[in-house]
Amino acid sequence: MAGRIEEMRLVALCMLSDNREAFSRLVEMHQEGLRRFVFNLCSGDAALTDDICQETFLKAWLAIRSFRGLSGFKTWLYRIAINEHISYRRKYPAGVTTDLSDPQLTSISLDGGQKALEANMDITVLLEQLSEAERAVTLLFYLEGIPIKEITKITGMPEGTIKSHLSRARKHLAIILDKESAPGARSNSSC
Amino acid sequence: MKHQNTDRIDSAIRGQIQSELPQCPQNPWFRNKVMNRLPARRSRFASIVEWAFYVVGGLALIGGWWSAINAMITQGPTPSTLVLSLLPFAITLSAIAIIAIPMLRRSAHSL
Repeated sequence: MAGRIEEMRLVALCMLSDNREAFSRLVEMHQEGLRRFVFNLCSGDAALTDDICQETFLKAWLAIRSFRGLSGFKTWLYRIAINEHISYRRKYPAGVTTDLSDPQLTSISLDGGQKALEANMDITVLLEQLSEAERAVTLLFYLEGIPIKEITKITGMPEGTIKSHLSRARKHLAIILDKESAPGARSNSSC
Repeated sequence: MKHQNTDRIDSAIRGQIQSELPQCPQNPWFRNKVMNRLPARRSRFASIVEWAFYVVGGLALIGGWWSAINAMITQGPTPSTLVLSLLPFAITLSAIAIIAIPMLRRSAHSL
């Protein structure tokens, strides 16, 4: 709650007095989450992630006075990011599969072991099998923990469509859970 | 029962995704790059001068409307009073268009 109030204060400063320090603070608050979301949305392309995220924040600054505060600032920001990604995909349709040997895809490993590496690749591979829209919805719901009603505002999709996407994603991603619960699977559950 | 099962699966998937999905590689310059891309700050003096012109222009427009209405009332609708009325009307429409069109365009491009 305190974080939300601080965020509203910073947004108000940006809107009323073009306060760049306040905007810098907002960038700092949201960059990590946004970059992680966009990174996984862009299938591990770090350069593209940074481009999209920079454009997102730039557009947020330019349009800050049109932010009505009906949804959270994060919701608004993620909506800009998804629109930026869609615009990019319209110009440059995706056609290249992810390089699974790319070390960026396996940069996070909880126990440094082979099983963490495999789980990491499994999740990434499974996400790759989803469509762009399904992947976006999946990341928003599972990675960011955003409720479905907020996701409708971010993506502009009806609630039924989002639930349908999540249902498909659940079927794919449940494979990981089956592997984890199988005998001999690694014991450190992260749930 | 099915709903509880879905919640359980969601919770498990969420945990896996949040811990296993890769983070974007660190970029310590990201915030600086964003701030450097923001448009240049507007000079306070330029803003004051700009607003002074808006105020003077607004007052002149009000004066124009007042004299046009006054002329229409005292002299009645003659060709000269009609022309006098059209001028502030045209200037008002132009001012509204100059202000409103960029705002509408920004709203259309924003979310």
